[in-house]
Order: sequence, then structure tokens, then C-alpha cells
Amino acid sequence: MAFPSHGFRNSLAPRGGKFTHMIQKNARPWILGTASRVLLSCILGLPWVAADFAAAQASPKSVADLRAKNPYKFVGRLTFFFDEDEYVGSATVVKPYSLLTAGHTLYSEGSGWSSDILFERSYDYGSSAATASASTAFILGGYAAYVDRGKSETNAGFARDMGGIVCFSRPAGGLYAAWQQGDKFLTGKNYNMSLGYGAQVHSGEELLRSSPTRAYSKVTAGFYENRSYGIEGGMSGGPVFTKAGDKWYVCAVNVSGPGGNVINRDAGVRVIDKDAASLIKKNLK
Amino acid sequence: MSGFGPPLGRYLTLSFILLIILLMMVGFILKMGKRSRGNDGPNPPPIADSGIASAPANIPPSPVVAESQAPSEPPDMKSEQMEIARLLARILDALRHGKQAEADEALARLTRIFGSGRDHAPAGIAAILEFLRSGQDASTGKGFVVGKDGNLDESTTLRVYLMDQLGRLSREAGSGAAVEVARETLQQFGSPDEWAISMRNIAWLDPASRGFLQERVNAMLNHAEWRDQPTAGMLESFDVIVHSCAMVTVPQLAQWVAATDSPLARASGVALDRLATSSALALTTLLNQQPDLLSAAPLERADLFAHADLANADQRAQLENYMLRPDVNARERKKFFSGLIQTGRFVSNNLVTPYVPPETPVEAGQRLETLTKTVNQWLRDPRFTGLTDELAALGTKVNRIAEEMDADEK
Repeated sequence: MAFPSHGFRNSLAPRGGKFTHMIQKNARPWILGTASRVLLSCILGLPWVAADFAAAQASPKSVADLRAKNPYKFVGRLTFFFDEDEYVGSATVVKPYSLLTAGHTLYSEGSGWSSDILFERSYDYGSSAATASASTAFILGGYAAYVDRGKSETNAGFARDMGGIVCFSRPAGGLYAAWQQGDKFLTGKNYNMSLGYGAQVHSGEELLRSSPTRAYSKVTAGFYENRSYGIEGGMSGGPVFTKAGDKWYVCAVNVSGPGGNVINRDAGVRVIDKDAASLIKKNLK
Repeated sequence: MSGFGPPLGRYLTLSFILLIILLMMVGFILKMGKRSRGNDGPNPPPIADSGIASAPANIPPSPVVAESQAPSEPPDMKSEQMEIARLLARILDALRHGKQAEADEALARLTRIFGSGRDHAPAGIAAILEFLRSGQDASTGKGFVVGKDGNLDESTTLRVYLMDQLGRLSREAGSGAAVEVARETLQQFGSPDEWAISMRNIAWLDPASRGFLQERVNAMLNHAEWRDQPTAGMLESFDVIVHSCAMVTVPQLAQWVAATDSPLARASGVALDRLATSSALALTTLLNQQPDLLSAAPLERADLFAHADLANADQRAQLENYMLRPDVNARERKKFFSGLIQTGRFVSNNLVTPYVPPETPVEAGQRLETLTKTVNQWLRDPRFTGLTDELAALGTKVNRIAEEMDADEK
């Protein structure tokens, strides 16, 4: 059911390729996982399906009008290439020169590091507040990243799915979004919202927002899921913001969503945990 | 402001605090005295309540124990060693009987003892050696997880846990014990996770071990049984390749990296990527000498060359040879040229190699300046006439970034 909502191909680019293959591979465990939950819900009599579809922000909707306001103004569109194919993803300014995104927008087996990474802050139909090219990409995970304590490769992949980018210039003139470490912002009662440039159902040309009506559940390690809302391809790497008091903080990044044109459930996010916080502190500038 | 009240009240409060401090000091002195008597006397230390107090008596004495009884050792070392041995017996029993919570609690206690300072290291080393030589072991039910500074956050077996602690304690105490155990372990293909921690211990404690480690890590990669079912420990051992600059392993890594969806491919990709930074000249020279290497993964090969430093004349010469190679096509060169602008790094805790601070924005700007000069030189160099269009496209990208940087400064 779920797949990495990474880097969706630019609509001008040809279809097919390695990412399609990954989508197929990663989908299997999620079909089983969701089927199990449906069965459990039937047994327990929980109206989970109705609740999912009833949520006002279950599907991503345009928030282009808000793109110059806090915290939306720190989000931008990320374009990059794997081999000859161009993809669309999302990222957030989290340090003067640096962005937080999903790991799978930056590296792919068979293609290596993505190339020509360009961040366009507050992008909207051809215009942007600033553009910044990447000088260094960082992804979380080393030699044993695909083993991850004996668990499946799929979950391990999502659990490690965090990346950072240092740019040659400051994408927001030295300003950046605040971030917080820890899953309490996902599993507690804080308001959350996912932002990004959806290019699966939408065009990838405007900033979208969707938000859950329930808390997230932990799947494995740093990977969390929420059935009450969805994200679409291209929102990958975009932030999950949480509101604590009157302040907004990035607490996770979008990494997976349902397949096909289903965009109203099964959002998967990678939390800013100890490892991700270390990546930000020690490597991003 | 309410303050502390009248002077008499303040005097009473101070007296009361002093009394409490005095009582705490007396209590501490009494406790220390009791502990000291317990260690010197015939009664077992508190851990005896584990129900297996007789366990250490069953462990045969070893030469190491004899060494530990030398007259120069601290007087309570024997008791500490016995306490650790009892705790180990308790952990072993708990693990073998599936009492995970009890084992975890005892392991945490043992870790605290091992971390209690340099003075306690000899007792820890002696107890660990004694246990390892007993041949006993049990699975911890956990993974092989490398933490900060190459120490393990999780160990797959009790022996791996102890070998990890032995390396740390030996380093702390300046002991050769961990190296001795490691060299013995690396003589036979017993456990890949034990090999991993053994190679780390040798890398930590024997600076002249590079050749030995190159040979052993290569032997590990070629051990069919292990590479068919690679453990996390084996994969983490790929860091030894980077540490020891084991170019002998590159052909094998190059073969694996082309096979996607494999843990070995990922580990090989990370190792090659890091070799390309830490041993850029050696790797690029080898890849140019053997053009077949990575011919099945040309885009990854482009990334590796792009890690080289254009400001280094020898490395630049290798990059120029690469650009002119007839087997390198425009698609691969495009990736290479992009990689000269934007590079990548894997972020992880590593068994041996240390954290290397990343490039600063100022350094990135300098690198871009070097690239600009180099591209201009290449455009004037008759050797690269056939690449003029590709170099012009690279120049356009660099110019756009320069404009972004200018816009940021305004």
C-alpha cells in the first residue's frame, strides 16, 4: 500500500525506471500491515475507515497563499536528477545554509548520489523567494543500514530515511525553521501538519498541506505512520511541523504514502530522533 | 521580598543544614567501611544473592588469573574480578533461560562496573579473559549496533559484548589483552561479529597493524559462508577497509556494488565512497589502471572520481585521465561533472574511522572557485577539445551558482 513518496518525476520526464521498481518492492509489507489493521478494526468495531475519509485535511490541499508566512516560508521545492531523469521532492531550511529532507531524494542504489539538486524556497508556479544549489548531501546510515537489527529491509529503509543538504548560499538569508528532537510531538496531542510539493495528483507547482486527526504510531526505529491523513509523491522530504505553544517546530520529514492516486491515508514520516539530530548538529551548517 | 526571615530563624536553618550534611558524611564513611570489610572478608559481595554464587568456582583458573594475582595489583582486584564473574554467570544463566529483563538489568550493571574508571580496568580485563577462555556464550537477543566512537550500543552475543568491553578497557589500561584475544579470534572463521570487534580492537591498539588488517578483512569478504548470509557485524567491518586503505578489496567491492537490493551492495557502496575521500589518489589510480572495475556501475564510478581534490595535482591528473578514457561515455561524464559541484556523504557511527568535520560554506566556495579555474583551463586545453560542449554546460551550472551566492551576499 505504501511506497516511498520520494522524488516524483517531473511531469516532463519519461515514466518508469528504478524508482518504480522500489515502489513495487516496498509496497508488499504495507499491504499486509493494513490488511491486518482492517481485520483488527472489524473485530474491535472501530470505524477507522470512516474517520480517515472524514478528516478535513486528510488529503493534501494547496496553501500557496500562506507560502510567505511562518513556518511555510521555510519550505521549498527540491528538484534533482537520478541518472537522466528529473524528480521533484521537498525540503525545509533548518540552518542558515542547510536543508532537511528525506534520504531517498539524495541517494539511490544503482545511480549513486542524486545530482543537480536545486532548492527553490516558497516556490509557486515558476517563481520563488530564493534558489540555492547543493554543495554537499548527507544521508543517515552507513554500512549496515539495510540490515537494521534484523528487521526487514523495507522498514529499515524508511527508518533511515533522513537526509540533509548544505547549500552554497543561504536559502532564507540566514533565517531558518526551528526543529525539535523526539517522538512526543508525533505521538502526543500536538497539532501536526505535513507540507510539500505534491506531484502525484497535484502538479508539483504549489505548496500543499495535509494534517492528521490522530496521533502517529511507531512502525520501527524512527519510522512512524498515521492512517488519518495522506501525503503524495513529491511531498517527500517536506516537513512535519508541530505546534508547541505558539511556536512551530519541524519534528519529522515525509517519507512514504499510499500508492496510486490514494492520498488521504497512510502517511509515513521519519522522526527527528537522536541520530537525525546528530546529523543536523554535526553536519549541517 | 520575603528573604530568610529574622536572624534567629536564619541561624536555625543553617544549623539544620549543617547537621544534615554531617549525618550524610557519617553515613557515607560507615558505608565505605562496611564495603571494605565485605571485600576483604570471607563473605561474598552483594551479588551473591543471584542464587548462583558458586558459579565462579566452576570456572577453571587460567594463566590470566594467575597474572592478576601478582603482588603489584590493587588489594581489592580479586574481589572485583569475582564480582564480575558472578555477574557474568548470572547473565549467562538469564540469557540461556530467556529471562531477558533480568539479563538486561545485569548487563547494565556490568557496563556500569566496566565504566567505573581506569583503576578498575585490570579486574575487568582479568574477568573478561577468564570468561572468554571458558568458551561459554549466549545470544543477547539484540543487534550489532555501533555507537559513538566505535563502541557498541548493542551486541549480538555475550562474547561480542565482552570483547567490545575488553577493547575499551585495554585501551584505558594500556593493556595488550584485547589484541592478544583478537589475533587469536582472527585465526579461525568462528563468528563474523567477533571478527568485527576483533579487527576494531587491533585497529585501536596496534598502530602497526594495517597490513594485517588488510589481509584479514579481505579474507572475511572472501569467506563464502559469511558473505552468503552477511551479519550486521560483518557489514560494519567494511569500515576496516577504509581504515586500513585495503585496495586489495576494491575488485570485490566493485562487483558487489553493482548488485542492487543487497546488504553487501550497500556496505560496498559506503566503503568505496569513503575510500574515495580518504584514499582518493590510490583509488582513482587503481580505477584508471583497471578500467573494468565498476564498468557495471558507471554512475557510482563517476561519484567516486568526483570525490577527488582538483587542487591536488596528482589527483587532478587521475581525473583528467578518467575524463579521456574511451570507455567512459557522456552519461557517466555528466554525472562526474555534476559531482564536482555537489558531493555526498554517508553519516553513521563507525567501528574504526573517526568523524570527519564536513566542508564549511567558505571551503565550498573555495572549491567552486578552484573548479571554475580548472574548467577554464580544460576549455583551453587541446586534449579536451572533444568535451567542449560538456565543459561549457558545466561552466553554465557553476556560473548560476555563483549568481546565487552573489544574490545571497546582497
